[in-house]
Amino acid sequence: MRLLRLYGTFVRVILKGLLEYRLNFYLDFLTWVIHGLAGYAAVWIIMNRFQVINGWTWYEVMVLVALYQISWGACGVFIRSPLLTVEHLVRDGKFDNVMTKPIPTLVHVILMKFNHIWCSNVIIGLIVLLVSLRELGISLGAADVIWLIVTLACGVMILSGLIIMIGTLSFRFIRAGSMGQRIFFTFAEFIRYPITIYPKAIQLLLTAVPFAFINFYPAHLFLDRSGGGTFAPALRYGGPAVAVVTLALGVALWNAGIRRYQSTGS
Amino acid sequence: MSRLRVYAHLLVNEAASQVAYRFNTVLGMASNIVFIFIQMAIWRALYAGRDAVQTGFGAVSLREMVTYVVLTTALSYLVDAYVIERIDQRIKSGEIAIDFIRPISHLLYHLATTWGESLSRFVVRMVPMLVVVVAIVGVQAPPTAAAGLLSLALVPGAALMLFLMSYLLGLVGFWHTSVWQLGSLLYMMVGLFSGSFIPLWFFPDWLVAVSQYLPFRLLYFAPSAVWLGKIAPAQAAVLLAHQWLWIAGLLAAQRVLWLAGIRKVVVQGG
Repeated sequence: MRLLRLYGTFVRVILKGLLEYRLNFYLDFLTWVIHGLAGYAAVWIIMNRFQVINGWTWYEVMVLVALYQISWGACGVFIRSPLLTVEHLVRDGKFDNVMTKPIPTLVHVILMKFNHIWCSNVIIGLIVLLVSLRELGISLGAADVIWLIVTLACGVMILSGLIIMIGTLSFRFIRAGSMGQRIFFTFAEFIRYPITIYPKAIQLLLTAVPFAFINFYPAHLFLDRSGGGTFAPALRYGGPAVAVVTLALGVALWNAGIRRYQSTGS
Repeated sequence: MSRLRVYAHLLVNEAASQVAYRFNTVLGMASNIVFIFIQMAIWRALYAGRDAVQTGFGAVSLREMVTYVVLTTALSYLVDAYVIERIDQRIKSGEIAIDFIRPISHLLYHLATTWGESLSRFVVRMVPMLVVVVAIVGVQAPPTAAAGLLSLALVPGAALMLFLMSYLLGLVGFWHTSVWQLGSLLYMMVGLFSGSFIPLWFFPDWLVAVSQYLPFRLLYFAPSAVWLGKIAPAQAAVLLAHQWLWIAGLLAAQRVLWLAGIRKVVVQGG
């Protein structure tokens, strides 16, 4: 509770700083909207032309992209930028400050930064998701809505766990964080389309690393597909377990990294 | 002449300093190759067994799409300029004042360092990447020598155009407190309209019409489509002229912004 109040204060300070410059604020807003739409533009153009990819229709692919964009956006707001700063903090020796504060280091790092730009991905993603489901003629029952919320929460947890693991690399290797996130970006591109279009080895990799649990497997819960293409029908319910394990692993690695951390000094 | 030597020195220095990041080089190349294979898998799935798809630019075969992916990836090493943040940083920190008293051109200084980076990427990343990819999947040769030469002739203009666009937005930093949004807008426009991922022949008609009025198609699409013979040599020559007209316009615009900017600038602290 105390931490939540602290976070509220941090966010308020950032928002006040933003409102200080009016033109910036409007430009931010424009960037905000375009940022949110950019993730769909490429898929939209391609699916508009081809209509079907490996048995998945336009709006079914849009559901995949939206599930991913929402999770990615939520991580962008809370997790991604702060963990990118870890490598700078470590390099400049400022991470020592973080370690001497009376709150857990990971929590403190996350509290330090709040990136409002990515909110657009969450909001626009939800709109795209709902529109796509309606276009597909799928109406969600109460159980579906709960599964949808669980799925999105799991997506955020999976991505957060992976991003924390990458952030942990910054303790050992200088500049590893930004490089790691870049590779992460590249890999995440895989799941904009149904993973069945890739060779089996890559499908296995995306199941193990668990990107596919962000959108591909849980999408089978809503899209009423006959289970074709997944390794096992049960995988569609695997999200929560995978998410908990990934996040726990990320936090454990972070804590192990902290114990072995040696300041660069300055 | 001695001026030119200064810029050549800057260029080579920058190229040499980039090579130092060996870890980044290897990982960057690996992620590029992975990304090539992602794109190939997507096109293969979209083609769904068809050999070719009819488009406004004639039939396009899957083999040609594979070549297109390799060409645009290769271009991405050369047509790459992120001077926006660098210039903005110098304006914000006041370092720009030092640039004012330097006896060399600010524009050419940044061009030399940007192309120095490109040179190092060309040598240590692009050439090895091409060797690997060409050995595995193969790349189609241009249908005629003229197409090949015109395609290559479009590359320097493309690199210069993107640099000037980025530079121009960097100069906006004289008036505007944070230019990173402009940078990411440019990045997104380029990503969508340049053909770096989706060639214009798969765009809906109205979007092709829109992109005719934008400079971005001249960056990636033009050189790649000319290479594949989807744009006839005569038309390619017209595109080449378009490129240099845009460059002339951008040069004039940056001059105006620069002259107005240095009159306006207030260097804080010191």
